[in-house]
Amino acid sequence: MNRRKAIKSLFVLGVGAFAGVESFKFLSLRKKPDLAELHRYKPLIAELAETIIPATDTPGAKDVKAEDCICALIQDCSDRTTQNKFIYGLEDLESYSHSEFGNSFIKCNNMQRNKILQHFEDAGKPYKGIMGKVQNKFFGKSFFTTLKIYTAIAYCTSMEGATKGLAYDYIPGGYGACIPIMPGQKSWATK
Amino acid sequence: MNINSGGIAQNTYDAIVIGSGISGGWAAKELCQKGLKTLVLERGRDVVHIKDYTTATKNPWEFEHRLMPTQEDLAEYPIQSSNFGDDSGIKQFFVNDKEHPYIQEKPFNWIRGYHVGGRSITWGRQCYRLSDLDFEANIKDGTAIDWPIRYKDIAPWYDYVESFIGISGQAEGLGHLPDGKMLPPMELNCIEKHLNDSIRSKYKDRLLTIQRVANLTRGWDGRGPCQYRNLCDRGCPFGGYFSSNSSTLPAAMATGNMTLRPYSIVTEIITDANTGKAKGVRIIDTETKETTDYFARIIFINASTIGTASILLQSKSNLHANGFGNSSGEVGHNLMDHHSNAGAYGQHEGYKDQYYKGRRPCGFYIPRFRNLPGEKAALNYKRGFGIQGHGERQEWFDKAQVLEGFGKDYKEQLTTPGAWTVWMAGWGECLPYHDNHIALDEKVKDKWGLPLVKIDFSFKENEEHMMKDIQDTSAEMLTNAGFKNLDVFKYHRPGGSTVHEMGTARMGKDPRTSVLNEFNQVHDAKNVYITDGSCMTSSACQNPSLTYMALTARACDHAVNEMKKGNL
Repeated sequence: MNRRKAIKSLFVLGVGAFAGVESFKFLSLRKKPDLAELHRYKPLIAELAETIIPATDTPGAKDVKAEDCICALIQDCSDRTTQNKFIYGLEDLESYSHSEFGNSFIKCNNMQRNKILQHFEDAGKPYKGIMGKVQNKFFGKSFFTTLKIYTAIAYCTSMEGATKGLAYDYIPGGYGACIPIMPGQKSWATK
Repeated sequence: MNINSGGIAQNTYDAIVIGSGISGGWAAKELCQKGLKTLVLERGRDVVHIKDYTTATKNPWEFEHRLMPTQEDLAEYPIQSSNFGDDSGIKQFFVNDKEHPYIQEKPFNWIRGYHVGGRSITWGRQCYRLSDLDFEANIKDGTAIDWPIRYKDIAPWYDYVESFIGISGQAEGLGHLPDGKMLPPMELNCIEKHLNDSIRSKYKDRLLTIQRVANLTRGWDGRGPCQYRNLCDRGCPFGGYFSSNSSTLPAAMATGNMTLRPYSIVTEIITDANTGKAKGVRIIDTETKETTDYFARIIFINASTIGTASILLQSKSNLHANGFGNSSGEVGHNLMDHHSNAGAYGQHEGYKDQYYKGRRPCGFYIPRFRNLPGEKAALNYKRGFGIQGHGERQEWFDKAQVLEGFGKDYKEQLTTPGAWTVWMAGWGECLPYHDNHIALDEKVKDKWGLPLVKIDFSFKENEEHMMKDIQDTSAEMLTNAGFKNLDVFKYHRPGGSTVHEMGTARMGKDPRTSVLNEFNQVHDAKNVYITDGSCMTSSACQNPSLTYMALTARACDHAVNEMKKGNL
C-alpha cells in the first residue's frame, strides 16, 4: 500500500456508523432517500455550485455541469445518511430563502445568495474538537460540507475545470523536482 | 466428479508453475529460458500487457463517478476497496469479496488480484535488499527458527533479478540495506531535500533517500522510460514499471516453451503414493467446470502466501496426512505482514516560490536506524522499521476537506498550490508468531467446493511498542526540520493492509520445524519448490517482493541443475 492509498482509504471509510442519541433524527437519516426529489432539485444544485465556484477568468461550476456530477455522487457514492441530509438540506435552504427573501434561491440576487450560503456554512460547521468527530461519525457531514466537497470534486475532475481552472498534465514525460513557481500558477489537477 | 485426464502424455510438461504473479512470473521465465516445457496455471482471467489495461489512458472526467468508489463497489468489495479506494480505475485488478469469501477470526484485510500477473500489476514497486542483519535476526534474538541462508547466498541473485527488472535508486553504502544494480535515481523535491538535509545534520545514524523502485528512469529491455503519470496501478502502456505482464511472462512466452492456462484453480497436488513426491496437479477450469490433471517432473507453487498454504493443506494423502509437505505441522503458521499504521504528518511554511512538474511514482525512504549492530539505545522492542514518505504541496483535494467560505476567493484558494506537507509512516517488521496462522474451515465451502480459508492474525506487543517509537521519532524528525501543525497518527487498519503477507511455509534447516529447505524445496517432496512470500522465515522490514524474485531465480537454477544430475 502506498501513501495515497493509505490516506484516501481513511477518507472513503470515514462515513456512516451507529447512533445512540437523538434517535428520531437518526432514524429519519436512515430511511430510503427520495432520489427523484434530488433530481428535481438539479437546477437549484447548479446555482448553488456556481455560487461556490463561480465563473471568473476561468470556467465556473455551471460551465462544467457540476450539478450532473454532484447528483451522481449523491445517488451512487454516498451512504443513506449523507443522501438524506443532502436532500433535507436542500429543502431547508429553500425554505430559508423563502422566509428571508421571499424567493427561491434561484431567483435571489448575488448578495442574497451569499447571505444564504453564509448562513448554511456557519450552521454546517461541526462542533470543535472531539465533539465534532463524534458528530461527523454519527450523523455524517453537514449538508453544506458535502455540497462543497462534491462541488470541488465535480469541478476539479471535469475537463474544463482540470485543464482551465487547474493545471492538467496528461503525460508529463519527465519530472521537475524543484521549479520556480510561475505568476498565476494553478495547482496540478491530479497527483 | 468429471475428470478429464486428456491422456497423460498430452497433459505432461517438464514443469508446472502455479500462479503468475510476481514470483510465478519469474519461475515461468527462468524455467522456460532454461529449456523446460512449462505449464503456467492462473486461477483468474488473462491480462495481456497494454491491450488489457482498459483504464490506463483515461482522464478523470471519463469516469462516471470521477474515480470515487460507489456504494455498490463498497458493498461488493468491502475489503479490497480499502486498497483501491482512491482510484476506482484500478478496481478490475482486485477480486470481488462477495465471490471470494474468507473467514476473519480476527480482522484481516486479504487483498487479492485473481488474474494473470496477480498483484504485480498493483504492487508498490519498492525494491530493497535484505542483509545479514535480517537473515541472522531470528538466531541472534532467539525468535522462531534460523534462516537456512545468509546474504552471500542470495546476493548474486539480487544482482541477477535487478539487472532484468530495472530499478531506479540511489546508492547509500549502508551495510544493512545493501546497494544493488540501480538505474539513475528519481529526484527528491524541495521539501524532501530540506528534510533530508535536516536529518543528516542532526542524526549521525539516519539519512533520507529517494525510494528504490521498479520504475524506469531510462529505457530498459524494450520498456519505458517512466512518463511520470503516477497511474502505475492501472497497468502502464509505456511499460514504465516492472510487472509479470510487462516483463517476465512475455520473456517466457518468447521462448516458445510456455503454456499459459488462465481460469485454472488448483485444487490439489497429486502425490506419488510410493515416494511421496508430487506427480502433478489437479485443476478446475472455472469456465467449463471440468476437472483436469496435469503432470510434470517439478512443480513451483507461487500462489501467494495464503493461497499456497491453502493448496498444501487441501492436498492430503497417505504420505502427506496433514497436508502436502506438512509433516512439521508448520504449514499455514507464522503468518506475518508488515505494519504501516504509525507515522506523522506536518506542514512547512517555507519554499512558497517552489513547485514541481510531473507526478513522480514514488516518495522517500529513511532506512532502518533502530536496533542496528553496536547501537546502545535501550528499546522496548526487537528489530526495526524503515520510514516511507512523500512531500508535496497541498492540492485541491486536500484543501477541499477544510477550506472555509465560497465564491471567488474560495475558488482562488482551491485552485492554487497550498503549503508544503510531508506525510511519513514506518513500515515495520512483524515477528513470526506460531499462533498467527491460516487454516481451512471444515464446513464452509466456496463455489468450487473448496474449503474457506480462516485467518487468525494480530499484531502483538513488539509491533505495538515499535509503532509508538515510529510516532515519536517521526514527529521529532519533522519538528527538528521546522514542520508545524503536526498530526501524529496511528491508523486502526488490521493485518493484511500492507499487503505483505508471508511466512506460511517457512524455510529452515530442520524438517521438523520448517516446510522448505535452503533452496525452497519442500523437505517432504524435493521436486516441489515454493518461492512466494510463504517461504519467509522472518519478515525483515523491507518491502519483500525483490527477495521473492531473487529466491525464485535461485531456486529455478537449483531445480534445473538437480534435474540434469538426475536428482529430480
